[in-house]
Amino acid sequence: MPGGSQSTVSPESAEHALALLGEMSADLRAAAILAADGEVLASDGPAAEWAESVSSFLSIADEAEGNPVEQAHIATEAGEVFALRIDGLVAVAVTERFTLASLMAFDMRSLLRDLAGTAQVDSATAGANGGGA
Amino acid sequence: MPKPHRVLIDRVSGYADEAGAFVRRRRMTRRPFARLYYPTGRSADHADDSEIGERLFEAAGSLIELGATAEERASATGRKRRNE
Repeated sequence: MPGGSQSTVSPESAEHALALLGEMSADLRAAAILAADGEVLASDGPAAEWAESVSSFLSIADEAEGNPVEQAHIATEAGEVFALRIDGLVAVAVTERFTLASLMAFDMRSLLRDLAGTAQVDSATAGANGGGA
Repeated sequence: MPKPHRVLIDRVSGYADEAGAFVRRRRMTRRPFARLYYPTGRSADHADDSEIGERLFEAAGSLIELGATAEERASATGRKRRNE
């Protein structure tokens, strides 16, 4: 997994981040945030279906050149798919056609970085408190 | 000085040329693509008739369907986002 170590993100934080992405991106239809191991932290719709579809999509993308991809952008007549891996997290977004790709990628990147940063602060706080409550 | 009907014909064919160019440009931008980016900064395009491209479009299609279902469900329940 490119992008560094695994992050432990709470589903609440992930859900909040997903809501924020929806507010930022007018063209967003649906999205999901997953942990590096494929666990769905937050999603628009059934988590199991997202887990399966995203896992399948990323494994095909990784297979393309034998290296793990950091970002994928697929544009079809029916819509566009963006996937981004960063700091041990995965964000996948389905958008309308002709979405501004650079803006979408920027929003997703900043979202995952914030989320990973929050997770690090949480784990550091838990460590300082003797491993949590 | 050109005859009036010649001016009209020139103008119409000018507009037709413009419209043709617009349609061609639009068709170019509407063409589906699959682009993968790697941590090294490299990117690679995969044509839809290549083996990987075909599989990528198929997998993306199922994600788009999933997105459409989620969007329909959200609008039916009157909620913007909902994790299940």
